[in-house]
Amino acid sequence: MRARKLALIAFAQTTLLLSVSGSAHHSYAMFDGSQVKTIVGTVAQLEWVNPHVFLWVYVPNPDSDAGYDLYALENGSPNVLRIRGWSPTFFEEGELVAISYWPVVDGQNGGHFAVLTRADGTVVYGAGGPGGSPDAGKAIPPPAAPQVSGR
Amino acid sequence: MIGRSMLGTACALLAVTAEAQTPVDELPGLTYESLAELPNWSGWWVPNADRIDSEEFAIQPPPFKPDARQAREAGRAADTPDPLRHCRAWQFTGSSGGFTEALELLFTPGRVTLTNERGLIRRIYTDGRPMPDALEYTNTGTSIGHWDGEALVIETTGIDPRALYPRRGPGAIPFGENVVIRERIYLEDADSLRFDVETVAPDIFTAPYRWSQSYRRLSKTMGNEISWCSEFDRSIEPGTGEQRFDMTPPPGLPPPPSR
Repeated sequence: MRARKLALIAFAQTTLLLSVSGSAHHSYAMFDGSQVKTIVGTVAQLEWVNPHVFLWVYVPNPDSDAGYDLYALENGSPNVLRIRGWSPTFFEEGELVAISYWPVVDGQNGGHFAVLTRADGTVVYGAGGPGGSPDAGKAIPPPAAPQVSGR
Repeated sequence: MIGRSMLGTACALLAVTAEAQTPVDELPGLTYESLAELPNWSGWWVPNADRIDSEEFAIQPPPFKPDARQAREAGRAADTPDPLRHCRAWQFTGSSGGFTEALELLFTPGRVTLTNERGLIRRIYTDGRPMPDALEYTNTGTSIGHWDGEALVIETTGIDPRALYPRRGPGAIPFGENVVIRERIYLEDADSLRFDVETVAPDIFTAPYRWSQSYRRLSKTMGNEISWCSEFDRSIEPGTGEQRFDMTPPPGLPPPPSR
């Protein structure tokens, strides 16, 4: 009985890590929780707003006219991210980052933030998201600089 | 208006007894000077991971009546868009914090005020006044408390029966009539605050629902407002409540790197 309770607590803690601020707000149905994708790019802006912080990233794409695609990564709320060490100045504009995310199902360039790795190897976790993928909580390799030229 | 007599009194766990034995003018925390004798609950408190949201949490499931459970499941399955669900005034249905909301407790003479980051304000009177005979329904009810040693004991009634349980959102159901919420709040250790809660909600529960929630102190963290109002939510279409993923670039977005 005690083992079962401990297992439930462990499950709950894991779920909290990956799914803070979940069902009561929206269902995350717009994201594909069965997979995570990875991008490497430069930080365009950290949009520090309620109820969701968004990280905007330029990702090189030689097939686009601009040479880049703009990605949007939804995250948890400012207050829960602040508890986890984030702040409005957590990233510098142009900072090279690698990010894993749950893709949005409508095919747009973006999704829900899962894990980020800075160029120096620092791993940054977010808050919230659909969960469901075993890769969602895994740290990803740091971006191999230089991925973006001209800056 | 609701009658006090309808609210029921069966709860030995959180029975209100201490104030009956202490002269009103000697109650703890009635003056600014005596506030220093109350326990140190300063700072912000964030929920521990021992309780996730409400009824979904397997360890402490509420004792829903069959029709209430059915209504919840149907509502969750439908995920019915409600454009106002993120912008309604906060309602107290048993949890002062919740999933992510840090809370703080402010002491003034004869009163404890509990707030959380989402705008909940609970005014808990500890000046010895009795529960009014007749209450007007409000979003957070009327709370009367007293100090039982180092613990704050609270009884709350008069919560609007239309308040949504466990909280606004898919599958929320009306809390119903004659709700009574009894709490005992105390420090488990220097930086851990525990709420033992009993919720009597005869319209939706088969029995009193007893559960606990613990918070840890964040002394150096400044509380921040959190809003789920769809007005600024890229995930919710404000006019319809439908989910979306709005990729309109934010103001001031810098140009892409030069090639």
